[in-house]
Amino acid sequence: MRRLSAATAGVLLLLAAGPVSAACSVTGQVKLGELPIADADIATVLGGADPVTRGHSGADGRFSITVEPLPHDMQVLKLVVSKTGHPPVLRLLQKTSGSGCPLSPQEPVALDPGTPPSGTTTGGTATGSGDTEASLCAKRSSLGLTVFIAPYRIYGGGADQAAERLNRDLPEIVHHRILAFESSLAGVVSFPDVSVETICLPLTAAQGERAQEVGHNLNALGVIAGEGELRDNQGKTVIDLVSVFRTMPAYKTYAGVPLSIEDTIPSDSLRPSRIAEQMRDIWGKQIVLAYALQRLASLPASPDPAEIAKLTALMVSLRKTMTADDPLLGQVEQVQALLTDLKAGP
Amino acid sequence: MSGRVIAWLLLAAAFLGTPSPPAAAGEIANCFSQGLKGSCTERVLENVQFKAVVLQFVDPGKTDLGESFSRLMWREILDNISNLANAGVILAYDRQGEIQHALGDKDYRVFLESEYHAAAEAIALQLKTQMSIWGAVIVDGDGLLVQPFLTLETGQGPWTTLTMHSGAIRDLALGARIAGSRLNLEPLTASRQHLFDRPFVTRCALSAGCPKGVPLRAEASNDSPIAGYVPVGSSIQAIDMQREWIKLRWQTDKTAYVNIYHLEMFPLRVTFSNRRDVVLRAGPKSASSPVAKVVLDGDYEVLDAARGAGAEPWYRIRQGSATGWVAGRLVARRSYIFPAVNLIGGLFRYGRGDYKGATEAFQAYLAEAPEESNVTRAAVYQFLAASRIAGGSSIDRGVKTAIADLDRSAVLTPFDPAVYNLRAVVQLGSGHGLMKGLKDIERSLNLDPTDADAQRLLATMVDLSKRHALEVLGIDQDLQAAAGYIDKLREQYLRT
Repeated sequence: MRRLSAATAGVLLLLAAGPVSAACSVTGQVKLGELPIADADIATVLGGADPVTRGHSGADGRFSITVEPLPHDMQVLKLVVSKTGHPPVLRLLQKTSGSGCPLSPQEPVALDPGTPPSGTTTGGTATGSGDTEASLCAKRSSLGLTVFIAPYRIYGGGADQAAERLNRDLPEIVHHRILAFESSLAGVVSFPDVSVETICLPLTAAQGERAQEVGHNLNALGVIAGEGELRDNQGKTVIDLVSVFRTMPAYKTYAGVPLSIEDTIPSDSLRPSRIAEQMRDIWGKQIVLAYALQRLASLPASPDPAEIAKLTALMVSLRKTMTADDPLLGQVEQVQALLTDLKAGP
Repeated sequence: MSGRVIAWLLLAAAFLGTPSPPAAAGEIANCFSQGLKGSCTERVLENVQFKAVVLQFVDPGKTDLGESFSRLMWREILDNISNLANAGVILAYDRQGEIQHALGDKDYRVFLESEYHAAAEAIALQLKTQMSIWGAVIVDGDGLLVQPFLTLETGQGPWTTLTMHSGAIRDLALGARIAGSRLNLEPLTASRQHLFDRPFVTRCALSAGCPKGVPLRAEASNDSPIAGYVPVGSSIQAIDMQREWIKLRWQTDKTAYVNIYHLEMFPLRVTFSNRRDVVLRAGPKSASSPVAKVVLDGDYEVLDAARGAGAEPWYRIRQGSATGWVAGRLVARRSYIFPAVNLIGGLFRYGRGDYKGATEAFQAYLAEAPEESNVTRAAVYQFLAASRIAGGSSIDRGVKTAIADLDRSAVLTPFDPAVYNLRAVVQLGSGHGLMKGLKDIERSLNLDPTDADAQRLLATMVDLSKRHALEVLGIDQDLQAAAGYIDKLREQYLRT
């Protein structure tokens, strides 16, 4: 049975119109393995601004800092945890829709054992713990047009081989489906060459924060993660599979919400094509949306009308492919509205 | 004004009403064996008016099946359109002169892999074909994923446009493009062996004849020694394929290769529509002894197949406990390994003006491919509607069902202006839906104010309104209200 998770079905978040005045509390814990780490520096970075030191972790590794609500056109606050002898760790804190406050990290901030590079800064491009190119087995995307796939994990005995084949063949199929979808858009002369790469860091479907970090550090257009669990269903082994696509680019108050698709399939049908089929063209559509958001974010204050017209045509083409209940329809229409506003000018 | 006849003429395809002598339906654009490389640069099917090219499937996983799939699909399409005059299918593989000339130093497979539909359009333009069929073979765990694509080349005449000309006003024509020129078709997933588990029957393709039978080779090459012969008309058990060579099981425990040119390809299944008192026969000919008298209704697996008198296909099927042969003329629908073959066959028939055949083929495809994407199904419903309109003996006939088809299309792609443009053409052209047609034009422009077809339709309506000639579109309708509505749309949408 295939279903879209209602909680995460894609609609663009129209975040709070402006900041609210109350201060926000961010709490967490710093650990190295199972050990709490005391006296780690806790700093925050807003956009491209310099880091602001907010406090230190206590003897139990816990910290509590106070920050201002995020401005209306920002949706992420970077949290940087530094400790002498360790590379700095970055966490991206998402803004809550009501208060404008950043969410506290849901898991302890894990320091990486090892020596930090000399002169490491805590600037906006710092790479988080474990998120070096080598540890992710991936290169940072220079153009931001790469989708990264984390290896699927299948829990339960006897699925290792199937999972291995899945992880081996999935990128090729996903790449092919994405290019085929983009190419089929009516009236779109050419679409940038989006690549699909793998990372070696497994991410569970629920690890949204971590996936955001990885995507941010790799300058990704999107991050795909998934997992499955074997279970017995009336004498037959089936896999409950969940795949999540997270769109990375954001424009002002707009950002894509992760689209989660759940499916239950017979264990002997665990093939990359099954996952690709499950997604149909949804991932291709998300790529087009992500690209539009990326282009929007890069527009100057007075954008070229031709560029707006191009993006408008792209959204019209994308919408042509949709049914009335397409989970991404709301996102497309919001981007269309945004483009209309841009066209109208301030 | 009731009873007044509004005369409309239809021009649904560029080739309607231009009968031409039957032509060989199949050709090949490049050498098909090592001894025929001289034909690689030859222009192909130049005199065939309506043609498609099947491009070698791209094969990133190096399964060695890229060319094989293009050949299978090519032959299935040929089987499907074998009775259609002046239609042809070109098979393109390797680096052929025509494609290479267009692409410079690019390998066309690399070109396809990176440019997809745009590449297929470029190749179709170069070869002057109306369609490109291509695809990809991708390793899929322990099986294969075969993804076919269909690109319609709209530059080769207005064959994807439904145009209705007025008989009353000489220069009045209403037309709109049918949506979906770049179709990503439903992939096929199967094990490698399963893909060849189908009826193949030997035939003789040698000009010198096959006095000993059809030659089998030890390896997949004309240079390989002949391993033996099988009689013409024998069923073979295929197990794999390598380029143009089918690998088969032979003499129980041996394998050999036969060139696909020496094989007939038949459908996997045939469908009958409530055929009563059908005589199943012991052999593939009318004179063969009867086995049973049965009712045939629904899908039947083709157990074996052969050519009977006049090259008519005969199929051996099972009905209940009886197994026997039935003539192909009784079959309502043929199902191939690629459901898209019926779609492509429908497009061929539409393009050649065989609207009845096109209607049947599109219906067959829609019945056979329920999992197909909404975009493809919407496009097929539009072609189906256009076939009904163009194939109707009078303008009223078929309009109701055509509108119903377009309604279905609109549910599938409600944000595509093309379906509303087409429905507007049918509404306005049928003379009974003036306001409905105008509303559809408005829907279309709401979705995309720059849509060229909708702009053109609106401009035509404005012109008619100015000439006080709206009555040609609407008997017994409120022409004054329509004129007011057109004025409103003009102010809101029409570019000067």
